Amino acid sequence: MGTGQSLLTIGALMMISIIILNFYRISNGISSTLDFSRFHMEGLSILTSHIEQLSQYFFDEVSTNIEAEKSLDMFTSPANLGVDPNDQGIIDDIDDLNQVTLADTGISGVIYHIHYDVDYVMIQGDSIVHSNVRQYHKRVTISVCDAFNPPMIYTEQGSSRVRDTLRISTIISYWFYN
Amino acid sequence: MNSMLDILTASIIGAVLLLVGIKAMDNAVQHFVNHNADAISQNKLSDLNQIIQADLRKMGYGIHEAEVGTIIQTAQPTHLVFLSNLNLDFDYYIHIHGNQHLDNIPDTIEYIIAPFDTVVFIDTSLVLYQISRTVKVTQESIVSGVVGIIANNTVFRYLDQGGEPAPIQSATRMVEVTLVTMNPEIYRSSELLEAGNPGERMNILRRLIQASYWRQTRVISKNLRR
Repeated sequence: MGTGQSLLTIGALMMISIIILNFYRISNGISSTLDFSRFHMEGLSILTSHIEQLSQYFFDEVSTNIEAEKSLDMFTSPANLGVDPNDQGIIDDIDDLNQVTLADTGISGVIYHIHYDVDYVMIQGDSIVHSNVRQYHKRVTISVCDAFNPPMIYTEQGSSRVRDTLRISTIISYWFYN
Repeated sequence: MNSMLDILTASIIGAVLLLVGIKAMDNAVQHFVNHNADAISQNKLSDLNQIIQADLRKMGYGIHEAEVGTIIQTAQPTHLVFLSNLNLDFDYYIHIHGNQHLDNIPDTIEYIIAPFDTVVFIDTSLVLYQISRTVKVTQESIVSGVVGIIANNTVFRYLDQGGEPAPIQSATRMVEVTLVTMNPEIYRSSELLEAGNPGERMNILRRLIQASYWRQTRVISKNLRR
């Protein structure tokens, strides 16, 4: 076999190697995308479960007494949103969840971290904005991210995966009727 | 003689390249089919949970708070029946029939999980289950049908206020729905066909058939005592 033929053969082998390498790279990318959507969907289902469970709690510690209408000054002050001293660690109103982080898992076995933030909000123009004083509306923001390394829920930044967070906010308002 | 050697070498290299190409093509088809099966499975799960979510959101709607213990009529892992007043004040029925079909009588929505198919892989198998949905609205004809195929038969769990399994049916305050979908229409690789025993074959199957998961909790009646 002459030098030309040898070079041609080596070139052919290199080309087929590159094609196979690219094929596996693409296939691996598709697997990662499918895994991402799988755990994104499960994370979302767990997140909406936590929002749903919020609806069983009272608006404020003071409204656990349902006998009379409550006014703004009776609600927990913005600085004290969190578990109340008389709750003995048992959550009974929405703002008890402020700054709470807990772990939850779906049937896949992946552990997700759930984090709650609660604040008062008001309407300003056509926007809902944070309020530093008591309002009749509380916003609960729930964030979910997985605890895996490398992350299952992520964003691509360059060639690396950065852990991403799923976040949903819901607003719960106080109302009273006789 | 040199020409003969050249032809022989070229044939060997050509044969190797051809084998590599065939193997690569086989792998490409296998990956394409299995990825496609996975994507279909995720799509179906997404469609299914939209139907179930839309129904469970109505759970306990229009039922008096004093009767909260009756909202769940049947509470089994494979069978859920609950009350909801669907034609109490519902635009859809007004649009179709006018006001005459509105009433204050609780309606029922029923979900039943039943075996649907057993997919056999030589000496091991995978059982699939169907989810049947029946909606009974007073003054309306019954709507019934299969809404999806899943791979788990324990779908419903009934929880009390604290999120623990409810000791009695009337203590149920939340329903947890777990759905797992799998698509058994995969490319049966030589590795799968040549497995030595059922256990090994099942392990290979678990790698090939990807599951998609959904787990959601729904409160059966909203807290109106704000």
